[in-house]
Amino acid sequence: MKKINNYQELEQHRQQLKKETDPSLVYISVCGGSGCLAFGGEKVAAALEKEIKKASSVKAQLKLTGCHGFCEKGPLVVIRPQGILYAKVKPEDAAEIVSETIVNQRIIERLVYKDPVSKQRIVKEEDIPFYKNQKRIIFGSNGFIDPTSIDDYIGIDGYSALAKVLKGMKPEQVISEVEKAGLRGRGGGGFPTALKWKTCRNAPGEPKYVIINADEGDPGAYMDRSVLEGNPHSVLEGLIIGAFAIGSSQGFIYIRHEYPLALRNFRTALDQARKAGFLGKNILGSGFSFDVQVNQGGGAFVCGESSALMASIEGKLGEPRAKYVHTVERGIWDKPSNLNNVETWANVPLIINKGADWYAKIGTEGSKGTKIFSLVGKINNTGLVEVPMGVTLKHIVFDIGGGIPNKKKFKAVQTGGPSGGCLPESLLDLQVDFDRLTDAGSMMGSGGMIVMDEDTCMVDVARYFLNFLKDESCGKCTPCREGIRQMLAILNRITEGKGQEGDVEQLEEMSGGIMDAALCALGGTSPNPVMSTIKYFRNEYNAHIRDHKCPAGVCKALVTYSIDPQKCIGCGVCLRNCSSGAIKGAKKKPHKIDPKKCIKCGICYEVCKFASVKRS
Amino acid sequence: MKKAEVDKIINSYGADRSQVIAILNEVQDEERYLPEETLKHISERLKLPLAQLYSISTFYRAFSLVPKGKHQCTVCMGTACHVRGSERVLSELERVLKVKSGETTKDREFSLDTVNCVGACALGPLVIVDGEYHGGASPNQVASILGKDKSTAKAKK
Amino acid sequence: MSHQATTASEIKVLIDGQEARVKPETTIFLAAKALGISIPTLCHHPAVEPYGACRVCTVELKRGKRSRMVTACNYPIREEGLEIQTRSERALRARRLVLELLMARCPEVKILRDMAQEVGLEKSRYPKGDDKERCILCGLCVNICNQVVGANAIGFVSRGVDRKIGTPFLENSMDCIGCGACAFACPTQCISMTEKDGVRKIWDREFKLAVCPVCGNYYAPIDQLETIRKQVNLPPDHFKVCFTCRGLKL
Repeated sequence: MKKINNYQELEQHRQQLKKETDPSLVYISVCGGSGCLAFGGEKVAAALEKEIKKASSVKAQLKLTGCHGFCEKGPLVVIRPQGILYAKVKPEDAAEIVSETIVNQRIIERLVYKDPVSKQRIVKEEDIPFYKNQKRIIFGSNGFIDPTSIDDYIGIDGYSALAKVLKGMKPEQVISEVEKAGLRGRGGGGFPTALKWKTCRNAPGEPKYVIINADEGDPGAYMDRSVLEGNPHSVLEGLIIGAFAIGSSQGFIYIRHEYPLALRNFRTALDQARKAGFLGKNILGSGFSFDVQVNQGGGAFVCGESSALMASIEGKLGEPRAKYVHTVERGIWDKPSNLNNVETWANVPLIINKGADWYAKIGTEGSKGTKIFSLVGKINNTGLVEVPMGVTLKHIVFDIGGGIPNKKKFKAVQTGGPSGGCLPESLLDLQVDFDRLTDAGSMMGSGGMIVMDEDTCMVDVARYFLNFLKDESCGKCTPCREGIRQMLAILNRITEGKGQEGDVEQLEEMSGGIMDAALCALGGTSPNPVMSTIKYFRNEYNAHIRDHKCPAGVCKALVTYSIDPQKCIGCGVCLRNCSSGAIKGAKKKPHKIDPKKCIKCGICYEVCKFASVKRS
Repeated sequence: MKKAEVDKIINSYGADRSQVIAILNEVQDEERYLPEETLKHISERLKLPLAQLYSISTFYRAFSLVPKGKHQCTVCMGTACHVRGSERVLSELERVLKVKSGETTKDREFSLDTVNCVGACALGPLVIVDGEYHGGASPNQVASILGKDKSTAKAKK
Repeated sequence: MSHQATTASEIKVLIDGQEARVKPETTIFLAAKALGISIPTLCHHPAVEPYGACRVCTVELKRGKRSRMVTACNYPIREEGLEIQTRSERALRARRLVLELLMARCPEVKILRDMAQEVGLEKSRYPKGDDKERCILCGLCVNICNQVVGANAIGFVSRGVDRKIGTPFLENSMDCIGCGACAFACPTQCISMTEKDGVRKIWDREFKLAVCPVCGNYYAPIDQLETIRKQVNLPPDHFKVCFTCRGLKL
C-alpha cells in the first residue's frame, strides 16, 4: 500500500480496487471473531484454504473476517455473492463445501441453518430472522471485509468520509453535522457527542487529546471488541474526523488487557493508516496532522470510567477523581480530553457520508441511529445484534433472539451491566432507547443484554453483580469500598438462607446514601441491580428470607437434590459421577441421595438422562 | 529475566514512565509473574518511586507477584456465563484442584483464576486452559477439561 | 451553562443561608470556613491536594432547580447562583452512611464515634470488623509522603476491600527517612512511631536521631536531615544544631 497524498489519489485508488474486483470470483467469508475462533474457526478457514488451492478450476477466495454476530451458530461460513450461510461448520466439511457448493452449486443440507422456533430451513443469510430483523449499518460490514486489509476497507468507501471532511468542511461544520444527526455516546452515558466535542474544542488549553475508550468491561458485553476486531479502520476514521473537529493532533486508544486480537488488529490498522498517509503529518495534503498512541489496560473494570482511564494512560493507578471539572476541560495531563466509546466513533464516518438527515431518520426522537447489543444468556440466538433505537425488547428477544431455549419461560432482561437493572416480562413492550430504559429503572449501558429465565434466581443476580463490583472497586472512597461489601454481606446471608426481616429495607436505605456519596459511577450505580430486582422480584426476596426457599432452585443452601424413585431406572450414572459419594443404590433399583453428604455440586442433575434427579 | 532483556523492553517504550503498564505486561508475559528484582530495576530505570510501582503492580489484576502455575485455568464469570451456571463449574474446579480461585496448586501445576468476561458468550459456561477454550463446560466435565484422569482425581480424595 | 461573575474576581455563593464572596476556584470547604461554618472532614489536610476519598464532607448543592451531592473539600466554585446546604437531610444521610460504615470497619476509633454523634448516629448496625483496625484509608499518610515530603516511601497496596497502606513488598522501605509526617497527619493515630534511647522506630525501620550539641536533645532522624539537606543543597553543618537552639542563638 503506497502513500496517498491527496483526495484524487484516494479516489483513483478506490476506483482501481473496484475495477480489480472480479465479479465471477466467489468469496468464502469465514467468521474470525474471537467467539468463532474459540469454536475452531481458524481450523475451518485453514481447511477451506487447502481445498480451494487443491481445486484449481475453482475461482474462489477465502476471507477471514471479523465477527458476523451470530455467535450461537459458529463457526460461520458465508459464501458470497450468493449469501449462502453454513452454520457450525467443522474442518472436515471443507472438502464438501468446495466440491459441492462452490463447484457444483449444491447446498449441503446438514450445514444449513434451521430456525429453532419455526423449524424452517433457511439457506440465505439475509433471510434468516436473526439477520433480517436487524439494521446492521455499522456492524454489517464485518462479514464482508478482512480486518487486516486496508484495501478491503477502502473498497467499501472507507476513508471517503475523512476525505470529504478534510477537503471541504470546517471543524465547526463537522460538529454541527454530528449535532444534527443527534448522535449520543454509546458507552453507557448517552451524552450528546457533538456537545462534548464542542466543549472540548472551546476549552482553554493545548494540546487537546481524543481517546477511544475500548475498555469494554461490562461482563457479557463484547460489541466493542467485535467492531475493533472486525472493522478497526471504521473506528480509526471516526477518531481522525473527531480530532479534526476538536483541534487535536494526538489521539489514544485504551484497550482492555483481555482483548489481544482487537489490540493486534487495531495496531495493524494503525500501521497501514500511517503508511497510506491517513495518519501522520499533513493528512491527504490538508495540513492537518494527527497520530494515535496505543495504551493497554491492566485488568481493572474501573478503568472504563473516564478519569480512571486517563489516570491509567498517565501511568498511574486507575483511581477515578472528582469530575466537578469535566475531563473535556481537564483530562490527560490536565489538558482538554475528549473520550468516546468505540461504537460512538464508528458511527461518525457514516454520519458524514450519508448525512445527518439520513441518520436522524433512524431511531426515536431522543435516541438517533442504531445500537449494537450483545444478546446473551438464556437465549437461543446468542450473538451481537444491531437494531434501530426504539424497537421493543420483545422484538429483540423473540424475533431476533429466537426466544428462550428448552421451552423455558422468559423472566427478565438485564441491561446496563453492573450499573443497570433488570426489565421483567411486564416491560417486554418497552421501546429500547436511552431515556425509556432510564425511566424504567435500568439504563442502556454499553449494550449488554442478559436474558434470564425461570431458572435464574434474581436475588442471586443481585448478589452476583455486587460480588463483581466488590472485586472491581478501586477502594478509594468509603461508600463504594465499604458500602458494597456490606450490601454483599446482606445478600450473601439471604442467599444462604440466613436472611432476616428488615434486610430488604436496610438495602433500600443504604442505596440512597451510597448513590449520593460515592466518588464515581461504579459505586454510585452499584445499588441499581439490587434496587431493580427488589422492585420487580420482591417475591423472590421474600421467599428467601421468610420461607428459606429459592424458587428458581439456584441458591445452594436452599436447594435440595433428590431422586424421583418413579423415574429412576437405577443405571448408576449419577452414582459413578457423584463427587461426594452421597448417592447409593443397587443396580437397576432406584437410587437415593443422602442429604447429609450431598455438596450440591449439581453433577447428578447434569448427567441423568432420565430426568429423575430433581432440584428444588 | 536478565537485566538486558528488561532494558530492551523499557527502551522500546522510550523509558517513558507513563507506559509502565505496557512494560509490566511484557515482563509478565515473559516471566509469568513480576519478580521483585525486576521491579526494582524498572523503578530505577523509569525514575518511578518503588512504592508507586508496587502500588501499580498490586492494583491491576493482570499482574502477579507470585509465580503462576505451569497450566493456567481460567473460568469466565461474566453475566452470561453466570446465568448458565459458571459458579457450579468454578466450585467443582476448586474442589478438584484443592485451591481457591486466585491461587496456585502446591505442586505449581495449575493456577486457577476467574475473569470477568472474555466476550465468547455463546460458549458459556467457559473454561480456558492454557489458551484453549472449553465451551459449554459443566461440573462433570471438569476432570477431562483439566486433562486429568478421573480415577486419579477420586483417589486423591 | 456558567454565568459570569458580578465582579471580575469574585463570585457570590450561599452556604447555609449565609452569603460569601469568593475568588473563582475556591472550594466549598474553604468558602464555608471563611464564614465560620465548619464542615467535618477526615481525609482533608491543608498541606496536600484534596483527595476526596472519605466522603464525610458531602454537601447538597443547588443550581437553579437541580440539586446534586458534592464533596465540599474539592468542589471548586466557578459560577454564580450556587446554594449549598451543609446539613440538609440528604447531606446528613450521606454523612451518617459514611460514618456508620467506617465505625464498623474501625470499631475502636474515637474520632469516628465523635463525628457520628454530631450527626445523630449512636452506633453502627453493620457487623463489627477487627478491633485492632484503625486505618480508615483516608490516604493522608501516602499523599503527605508523596506531595510534601517527597520520599514516596509508602503507597496503596491492592485495591477494593483488600486495599491497605504499605511499604514496597511489605518490607522495609529504603526510601523512608523517618520523618514521621505520616504519623502526625493520620487522623486516627494508626501509624506506630516510637522513640527510645535516641532511636526512632517507624514502618519497621530504626532511625538514629541527631543530637543537638547545644541543648543535648534528640531532635530529628539523621536520615531525614541528610535527605533534606542534600535535596535543598545546604552545607554539611546546616542541621547540626536543633531548630529551637538555632532560634535562641539568633
